[in-house]
Amino acid sequence: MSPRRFPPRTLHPLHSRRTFLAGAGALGAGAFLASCGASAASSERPVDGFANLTVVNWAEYLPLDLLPQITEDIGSRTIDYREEYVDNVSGFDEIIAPQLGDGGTPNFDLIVPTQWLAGRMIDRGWAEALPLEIIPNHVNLDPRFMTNDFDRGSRFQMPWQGGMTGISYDPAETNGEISSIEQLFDTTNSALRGRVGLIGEMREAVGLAMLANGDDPARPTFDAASAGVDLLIDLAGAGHFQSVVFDDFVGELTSGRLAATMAWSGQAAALQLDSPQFEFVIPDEGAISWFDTMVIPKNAVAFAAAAGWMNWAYDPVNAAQISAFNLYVCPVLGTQDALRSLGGFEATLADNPLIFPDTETRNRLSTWGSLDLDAELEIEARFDALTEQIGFAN
Amino acid sequence: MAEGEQTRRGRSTPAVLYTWAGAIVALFALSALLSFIAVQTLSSTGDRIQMSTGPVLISTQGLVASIAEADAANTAVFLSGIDGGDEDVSQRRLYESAVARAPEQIEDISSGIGDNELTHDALKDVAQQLTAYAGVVEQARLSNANGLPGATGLLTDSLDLSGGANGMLANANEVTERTRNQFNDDVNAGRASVLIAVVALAATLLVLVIAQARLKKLTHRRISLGLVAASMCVLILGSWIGAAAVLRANDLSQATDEGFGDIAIAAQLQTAAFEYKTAETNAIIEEDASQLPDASIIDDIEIQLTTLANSADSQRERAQADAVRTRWQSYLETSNTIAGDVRSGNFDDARSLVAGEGNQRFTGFNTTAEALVLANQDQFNGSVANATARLNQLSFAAILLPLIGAVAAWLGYRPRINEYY
Repeated sequence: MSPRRFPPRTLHPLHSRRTFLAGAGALGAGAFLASCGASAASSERPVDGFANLTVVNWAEYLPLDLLPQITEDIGSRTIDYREEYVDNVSGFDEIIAPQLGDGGTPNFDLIVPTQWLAGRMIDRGWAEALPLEIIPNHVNLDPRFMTNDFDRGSRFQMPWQGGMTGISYDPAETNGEISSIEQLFDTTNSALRGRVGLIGEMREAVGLAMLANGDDPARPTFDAASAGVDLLIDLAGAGHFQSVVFDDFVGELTSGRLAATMAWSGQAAALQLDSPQFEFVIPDEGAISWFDTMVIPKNAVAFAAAAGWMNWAYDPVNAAQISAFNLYVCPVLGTQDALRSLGGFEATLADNPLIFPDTETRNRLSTWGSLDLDAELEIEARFDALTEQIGFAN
Repeated sequence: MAEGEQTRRGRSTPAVLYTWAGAIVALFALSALLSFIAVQTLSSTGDRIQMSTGPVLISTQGLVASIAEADAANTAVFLSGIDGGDEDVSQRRLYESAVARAPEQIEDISSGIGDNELTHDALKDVAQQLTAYAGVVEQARLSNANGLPGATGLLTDSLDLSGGANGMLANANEVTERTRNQFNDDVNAGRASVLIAVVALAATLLVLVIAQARLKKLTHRRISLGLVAASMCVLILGSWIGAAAVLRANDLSQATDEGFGDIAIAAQLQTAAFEYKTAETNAIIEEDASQLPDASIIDDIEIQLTTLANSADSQRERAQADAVRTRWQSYLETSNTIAGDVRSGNFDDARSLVAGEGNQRFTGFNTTAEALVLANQDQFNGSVANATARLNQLSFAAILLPLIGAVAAWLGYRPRINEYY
């Protein structure tokens, strides 16, 4: 994990005439005028801001050679595309909260946190309502991504890509096939001792541990989640984990430092393309599904350009290029047909269940449900302590 | 004291001035009381709209969406599990999530509807039906999984409990209707008291003008600054109350037309679409093409979609309305194929389509309509908040300005030393 610092935000202490008048006197002309002059509060932000667009995303999520085309298509002057989103904890602590916590103007216009963190942003009023009038491709959003309790109908966010957290491994290094979390956690398998990677996202790692315990991460309870953390702590105590990993699990696997790891489906699938000996499996107990989602932060300067970016990404032809690059789950309807029409390698992806999960695959996936915030923070704190204890991959 | 002297003193200039001053102060006290009552009436109904009526309307529509979502997902689960098929787990989770959300929405509605017994009764029916519905769904699921006879009958029962003539949706709509009436009452409340207060203030102003003229005649004072100040107080308060009441009415009218109006249309749309889908499901499980939804439902839905688009008051709202139409048409495409399969007796394909693509597309329509409701909720809340803000500090002013006016009038009207003797 490499924490990155953003430049300090410029403060704009605005004192509007209206707020001045309202506060000028307890009684009298000021209050009278204020009562007469109240204007209709609206959640709709005017469509402006085609200025320089700044996008903060995870690494290897977009083919960078598409940037000139995107810039031209959406009418932005420039696009500053930063692959600086490493994980949700540092993403929140170092990028989102410092920029948005005091209601100021952020120095980015689009960010792609995982869905639960997007939910927190929306809950805190840190996300702009999407200007649907300039995102006509919103209708291409797969309805499966629209039923979240935190944003019914997707008014404040549009999924960038979904994914699954399962197991990636090298059979030559694990004494044979691994098809279950139980096998991944098997401390009697000497080939795995000290050579297993723990994914650094709490909901995914603890979720897999909960599945191993026979609990349902889609409806987590504090006790079940705690038991999941306990299981991981026990495994760490037994020296089972080599390191905490994020997208660096690929390098750790290919270098042989890891024999097996909790892994993200897209990067695992890409690894398989280069090195077919590596396997990616959805464990018998199930895998964790999630999605990273585009959010326009409150007061974003290039508001309209950010919406234009979203619209661009939801054109099935463009979505096909993105999916063919990162191999993650595609949330855009019509992309399968677009991939087929491209032919060749791209056409084969149209039937890849890692990108377009079929019912059988979906039935084996669980998305982390919502816990009471205090309970979730406590589980997060315990998990963070565990990751500090295990240490991050270099 | 002789009777004649008493009468003379009673009619003396100072006595007349004191009588006038006292009367003016009394008039100010009355105006203050009536103004305060008017403002309080407006304020309390505004609070009720903001804290109760508005949220109840929104939660009721959320409940309608949850019931529709639960039923669509449950149908998909059931149909995927027929004849030993694998149940669609993701749809089962969606069903569970919707059914878990519904009691929370019922609780929100219950805490907001106050002591209206009839509304509570309708809501109690929804709560009981929800429990019964969840039970029947589990029975149907169990029977389906074990290939027991009567499983489809139980599914029909569940559909009846949710979307039947006396089902949850009908009761939820009754709650909506009653809350809407309450909302209309709240919007109109306080008009009479505002009118009375303004008339009282106008009368006070008239008396002050007459008093100014009388004072000039009695004392040869050209103008009494106290009376002028008192008149200004009356004028400010009267204008303030009048303006606040008019602007508040405009805000509430906007909340009604642009916020709640669209919410109501979306609600009718969701209900009609749900009715359509229920009929479609019944036709498949009964394997009876005559039960397919009537074309008139589609016509109704088209009318509501058009009304929704026409009532949009911004480009964003129009885009949302267009998205609802697109999602509906997308569902209708699949539905037409399903109808074709049912008519040609190809029930396996029909079931497969309903459980898969049809269900997904209906969910897309349902959540898009729900998003439109939520967006209008923001607009509704914004307008109601503005209406409430119109009354900021007015309660305080309704007491203070008459008090200042009374003191000013008293000081301006009382006799001056050696002025008459």
